[in-house]
Amino acid sequence: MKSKKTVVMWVVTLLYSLAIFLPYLVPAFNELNPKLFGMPFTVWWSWLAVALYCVCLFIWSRNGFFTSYDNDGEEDTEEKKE
Amino acid sequence: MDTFFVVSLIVVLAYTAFALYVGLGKAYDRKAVSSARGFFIGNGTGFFVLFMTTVASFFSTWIFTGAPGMFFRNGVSWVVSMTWQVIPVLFIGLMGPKYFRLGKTYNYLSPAEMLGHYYKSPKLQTSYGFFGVIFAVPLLLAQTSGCGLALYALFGGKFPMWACTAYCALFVGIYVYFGGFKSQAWIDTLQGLLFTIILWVSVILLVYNKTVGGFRNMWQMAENLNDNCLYYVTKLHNATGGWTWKMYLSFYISQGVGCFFTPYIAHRMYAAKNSHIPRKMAGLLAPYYCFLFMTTAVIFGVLGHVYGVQVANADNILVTLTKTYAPLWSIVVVIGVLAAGMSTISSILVSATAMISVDFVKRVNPNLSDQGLRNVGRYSIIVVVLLAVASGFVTIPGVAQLANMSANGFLVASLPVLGMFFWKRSTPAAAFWGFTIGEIITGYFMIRGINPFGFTGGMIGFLVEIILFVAISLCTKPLDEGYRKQYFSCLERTKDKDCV
Repeated sequence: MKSKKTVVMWVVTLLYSLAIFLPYLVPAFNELNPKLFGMPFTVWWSWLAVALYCVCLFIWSRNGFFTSYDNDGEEDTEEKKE
Repeated sequence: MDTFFVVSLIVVLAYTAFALYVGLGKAYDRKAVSSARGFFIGNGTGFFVLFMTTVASFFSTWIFTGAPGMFFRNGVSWVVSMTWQVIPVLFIGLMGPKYFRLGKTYNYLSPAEMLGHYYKSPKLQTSYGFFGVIFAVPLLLAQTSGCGLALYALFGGKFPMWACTAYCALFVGIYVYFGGFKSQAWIDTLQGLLFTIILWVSVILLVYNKTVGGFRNMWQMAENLNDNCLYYVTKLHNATGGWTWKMYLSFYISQGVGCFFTPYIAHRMYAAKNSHIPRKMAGLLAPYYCFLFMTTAVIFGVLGHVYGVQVANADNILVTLTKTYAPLWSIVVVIGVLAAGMSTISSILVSATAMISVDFVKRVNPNLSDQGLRNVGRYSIIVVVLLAVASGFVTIPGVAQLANMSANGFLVASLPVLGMFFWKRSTPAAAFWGFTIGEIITGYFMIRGINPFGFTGGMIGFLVEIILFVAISLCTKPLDEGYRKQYFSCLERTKDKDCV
């Protein structure tokens, strides 16, 4: 389950990275005319990609995708230097 | 006497007094600052303060000056600068809890100490600490200089530049010297909230007025200018600036990865009260960075075109526009610049002096007492503050340039850490040589301003580091598997069950 979550995280990050590069990879993005809320399509596209990734980060933080280490009953100390 | 000058002086003094009241009054913890750990890391920082101090440390005067200037000069394609802000947040979620637990278990006060211990390599600790200071301190000096310049401009030159810079340096130095990390974090919280509000009030004042009349009009007016500011740099559009895909890729990797490994961000992971906090921060930091901060820079950059700001004033778009259209508000904007700059200055000051104390002085004198270590930190603060005061007499390269150099330097710092957690085969020799040579190459290209093959110099340094790191690891003996298991046993033992 843990490795599946890790794979999902990195796949989503990769897809996000590709999405934000698309305006460079597909120059036609510059030519698209739909003005959403008055802004150019490329700006809207980037903001949408960032917003979706922010949602993913929020979901991951709430669903154990990031490991935390607080399951200690006692104060945890070790010798620092061997 | 000039009314604007008097009001400016009152506002600056009020801001100074209130910040010191918060930091050295409410937040001062005598018990915390009596120990080295308490002084450098605090006694466990809760979510809200750690969140805000990370926010405030991450963004400096750049968000007020450099970022809008970059949008103005490079066109709207620079909106991609928002896109890499999420990557260090991802690392906070992935690595932050690990840093916290290892820091608590082994009493680490700096990332270099962690690496030196794990790899059993004192020279790696020294090298890592050395380059950490080398890349961070010039940025601190540039920020101080930038804050001084903002004050100098606000007072219309009535105070000399060196005095304005000295004020900024001494103000920060006082609360860091006496209050350590906790005071610094509380003042960061105040400053972070302050400059967030100031940015958005500035947006509203400059967008919703008779000249522009709203966001739709702003975009339409920018399009009507027909100066290519709304296009990406592609073969179809030779848009403004040199913001090619190679530059974007370089920044995406260097800033995206490098920013987590800056000492003052990694330092904050040690400072958390528990490891849930970095996890929770990872869920909420990204929208703050991207939409509460970077969006304002996009808007100011576009407004620069709409209002016809001259290119020479690109870094001062916000101050220039507010002085023209909302003069009294421009005083508050300068307070925002100070808040943004000083929060980063103080964070760098705490982490740099921690590195100097732990990674250099303590290495030379291992018998240094805990209070002695704390005192070395304080003496280091005095030295760095004096350097910052002296910076008021010289010209230091732009904040954006030094911030980029720092990020590239800290990108190189990422590999030994990633090897430590994710590649059993990584060896002490590979970590040391790869890191050190990578930093030298990065520093050379960045200082000379050379961008080989259209990529930033830091990318070349990182590439060389990767090659050396892998090659030397494969040729040298790895750390004993039993040792690695024992070292990371604290993570296995304390892993929260809902994450397994």
